[in-house]
Amino acid sequence: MGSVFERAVLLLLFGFALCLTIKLAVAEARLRLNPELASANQPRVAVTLNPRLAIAWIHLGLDSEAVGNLAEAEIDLLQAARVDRQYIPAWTLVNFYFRRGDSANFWAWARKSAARTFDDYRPLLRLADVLEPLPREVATRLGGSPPLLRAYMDVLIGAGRLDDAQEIAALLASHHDPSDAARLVDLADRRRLVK
Amino acid sequence: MKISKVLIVFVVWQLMTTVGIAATRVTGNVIGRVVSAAAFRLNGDTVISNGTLLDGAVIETARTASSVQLSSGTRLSLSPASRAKVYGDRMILEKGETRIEYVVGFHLEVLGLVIRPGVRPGGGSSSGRIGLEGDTRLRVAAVTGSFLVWNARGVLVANVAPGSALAFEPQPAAAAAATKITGTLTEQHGHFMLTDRVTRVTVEVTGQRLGAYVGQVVGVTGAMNVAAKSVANAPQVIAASQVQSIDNGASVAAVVGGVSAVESRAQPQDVPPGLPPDRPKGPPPGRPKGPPETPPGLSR
Repeated sequence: MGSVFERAVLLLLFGFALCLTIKLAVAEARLRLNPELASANQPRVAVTLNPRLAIAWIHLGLDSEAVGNLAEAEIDLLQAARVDRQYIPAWTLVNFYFRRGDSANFWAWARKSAARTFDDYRPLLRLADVLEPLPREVATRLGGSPPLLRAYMDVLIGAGRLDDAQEIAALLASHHDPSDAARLVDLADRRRLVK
Repeated sequence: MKISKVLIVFVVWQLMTTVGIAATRVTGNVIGRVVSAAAFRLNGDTVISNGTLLDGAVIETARTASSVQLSSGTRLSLSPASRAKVYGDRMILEKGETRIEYVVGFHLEVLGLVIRPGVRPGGGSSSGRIGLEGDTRLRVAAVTGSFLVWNARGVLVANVAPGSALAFEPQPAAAAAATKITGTLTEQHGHFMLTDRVTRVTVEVTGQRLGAYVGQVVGVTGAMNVAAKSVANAPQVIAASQVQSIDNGASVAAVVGGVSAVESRAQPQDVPPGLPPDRPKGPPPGRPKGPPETPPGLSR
C-alpha cells in the first residue's frame, strides 16, 4: 500500500514538473515566434513567463493607462490584484479609480488597501479625504481600525482641522485603548489653545 | 404608483449627477502619477510603487529614481536623492536632478531661473538633464533639442544647444543687469550684433568705436539696457562699457541677465544608452563663424 502511495506521489510530482516544463517551453516558443514582443514589451514577456508576477501586471496596467487604454489597464490591474492579494496591487487600483473619478470602485479597493496596509495609512487617507468631506464617513468606509484612526487624527491635526480630528478622536476613544489616552489629551489641549 | 417610480428615477438621477460632479472635481485636481521601483515620499508620506499627483505635489526620492507622467503627456524622471514640487505646467526642482524625457507645455524652475524646451526643427520634444550642483549652481545638459534658460525677469540667459551642457549661477540682485559676453562682432544695417559663444544668446551692442572691431572675436563688458528695444530684432540691447579683442581659442565664461554661465564638461549620464545626441546646426557653440544666428524660440 505504501509503495502504491509513494508511486502516486512520485507520479504527481513528475506530472507537475512536466506541466511546468511544457508551460515554459510554450512561453519561450511564443517569444521566439514573436520577437517584437520580447524586444518592446518587457512586462508582457514577464507575465508570459510567469502569469503570477503581479508587479509586471501592474506595469502593463499603468502603461495601458498612459496611452489611454483604460479598459485594458483595469483588466491588467485587476489581474495583478487577483494573483497578489497584498497591499501594492490594491493601492494601485485605489489610485487608478481615483484618477478615473470612479468613486464606487475607489471605496471598495480603498477598504481592501486599508486592511492590507503595513506601513503608512496617510497617502490612502489623503486620497479618501479629497473624495469625502466628512471625516467620520471616511473612517467608517475604510474600516475604522484603531491604527487607521490614529493616522487619520495625525493627518487632520497636521492640516489644522482640529474639529474634524475631534470627530475621529471620538471614534478612537470608543475602542477604550489606554495607550490612546495621551493622544486624545493632546488633541484636547490643542483645541483649548485655539479657542 | 407611477409618481413614486418617477420620484425614484429622479432621486437616482440626482445621486448620479452628484457623483459625476464629485468625479469631475477630483479628476480636475489630478495632474498625473508617479511610479517607482521602490518607496518614495509624496507630500511627506511614504508611498510604495506608485501614486497619484495632485497639483502642487511634492515628490522626494531616496535611492531610486521616480518616473513622473503627467496628464498633458509630459514625462520626466526624478533622479535618486532629489526633491521637486510638481504642477500641471511646471516643476520646481528643490534638490537633486531631473531627466526630461518628453515635455508638452511644461517648464522647470530652479534657483529662480526658468528652463523651457526649445523648438525642434523636426518637431518632437527636447530631452536632457537638469540638476542642482550644490546650493547655488544649476547644470543644464541638452540631449535632444535645445533648452532656453530665462532669468526671473524674463530675460533670455542662454540657449543650451543639443549635445552640450552649461552651468549657471545667478548673481546677487545688484548685478542683475551686468553683462559679459564673447563672440564675433558683426554689423547689420549699422547695428552691431554679437552671439555669445557660451550662451548662444544674440544681443545688439551699442557703444563707441565698435566699427573697429567688426569681424573680430571680442569680449564685451557692459550693462543690459532694459528700456531700449533692438532695432535689429535682438532680444537684448547691451550698452558696452568695455570692448577688447581676445584670443579666439581662449576659454571664457559669460554673464547674461545677471546670471553667470560656463560650459560644463559632458558626463556619461548625459546621453542615455542608445540615444545619440542631436547635432547642433550651424557653427558649434564657442566658435561662431559668419553672421550671428538667431536662436530658435526667442519669441515667448
